[in-house]
Amino acid sequence: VIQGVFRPCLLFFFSLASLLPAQVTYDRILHADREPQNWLTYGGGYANQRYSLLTGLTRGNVKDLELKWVYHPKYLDKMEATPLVVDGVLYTVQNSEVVAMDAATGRAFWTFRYAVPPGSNAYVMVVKGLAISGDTLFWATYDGHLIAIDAKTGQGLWNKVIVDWHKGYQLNVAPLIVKNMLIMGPATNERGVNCWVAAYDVKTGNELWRFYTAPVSPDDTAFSSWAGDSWKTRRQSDLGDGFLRSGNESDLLGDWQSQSGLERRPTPGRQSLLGFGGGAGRGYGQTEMALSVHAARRVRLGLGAGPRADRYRMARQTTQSDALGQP
Amino acid sequence: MRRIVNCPASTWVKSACVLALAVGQLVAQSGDASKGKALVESSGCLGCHRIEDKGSRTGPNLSEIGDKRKPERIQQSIVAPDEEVLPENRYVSVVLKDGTTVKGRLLNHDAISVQLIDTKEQLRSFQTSAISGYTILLKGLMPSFAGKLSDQQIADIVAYLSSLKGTDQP
Repeated sequence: VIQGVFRPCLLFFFSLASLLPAQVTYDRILHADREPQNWLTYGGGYANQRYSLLTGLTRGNVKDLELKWVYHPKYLDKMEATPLVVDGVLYTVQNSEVVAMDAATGRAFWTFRYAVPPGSNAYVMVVKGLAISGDTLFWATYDGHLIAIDAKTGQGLWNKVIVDWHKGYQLNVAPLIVKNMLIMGPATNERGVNCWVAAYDVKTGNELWRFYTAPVSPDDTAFSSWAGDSWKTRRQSDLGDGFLRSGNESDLLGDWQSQSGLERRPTPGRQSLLGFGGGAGRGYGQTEMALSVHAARRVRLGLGAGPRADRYRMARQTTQSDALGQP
Repeated sequence: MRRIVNCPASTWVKSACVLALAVGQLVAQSGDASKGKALVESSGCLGCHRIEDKGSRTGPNLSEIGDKRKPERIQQSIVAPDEEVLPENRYVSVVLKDGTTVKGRLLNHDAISVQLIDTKEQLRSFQTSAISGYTILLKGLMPSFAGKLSDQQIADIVAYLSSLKGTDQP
């Protein structure tokens, strides 16, 4: 009965959506150097090189640059996000708005708004940038949410609480996309809470694995580097400077090496403060780690200069992600 | 640069009365949401509309339509879609200076530019100085299904669409 009854809903529209390729695939990010006119990740690609591979602008002609357009955001707060550029569309975020605009003219296609609860980390207003996978943008908010947004329409797809800002957590990082995973970690406001690097499913926001950057139990390899019970509160009172330490913040974006399947992520962990007083290397602070993105397994560890560096051994944190297998 | 806006029909009051009667009869009929879902997915509705991660972005997204519209309004949109086209669902036809026409859902426009999402779901922006004109389309975007579907089929679709509440967002 239905056959022949329906005709295209719109007089001049018919669907090509199912035939369209995903906007930003893993392969495109992996080979981001092949399309230097775009900027597909916070750092420009998995190499995280952070500089443009375009060659048109040189030392010789930089003096000839002229103003092309100006975009006035709604808010007067700082704009520190590195925009993404995908096929002529520029995506950026500031304060509580994500905007998609024509890169050539600065005219907005759409604006996505999210109201940060009063009393949260709203005063921080730190947003380093967005991530994109397929046709979906991701925004990690400073009140601890991960929000998925349709890159074509600006419509919110889902909004998931990742960390509780009441406990001092915030999300400032521009997430890193690797295949079906969104990788990021929280920061804190000098609270004594543990932090981690975790992977989340790009379709659902569900956590796939987590790697803590400070010990969670005496069984942890990093435990021996924490004096007394300091690992419980992450308060490094032995330094005697009175600072309440955070648990090795992991809000710096790492790069990812496709050949080895490793993500290399620095954990500043109040780096300068840890370094002061000889506390360097308090596990895994002031550390450059290599994590297997497929199993949250630490496979390589580099340490800043510190007296306890030799205490670290290769170890593995048990996570449910082991079931994900190897690349 | 020329801009044309199609105005609503002058017989609005008369048609609204007829619709009120028709819609009232249909709403009284209970629908089967599962049958409505099958109808929507098999009939081509997703050729223009999007529900969750399926379908086209060129038409209104229906993922949360059950939260936004009462069943009576949903029914009206099926049997008399021209009666109300919300500003965010308007379409635009842009004529370039070489005669090429680009059509799509209007996203934004101002004195110097117009932005749309075209039939290939590409975001497009045009400076008005670089085009011959554009027309905002308010009618004829979606055909009426009155008389083409049975009352029960329409009731089934309405039941399904009314059940779409989207995802809870904290």
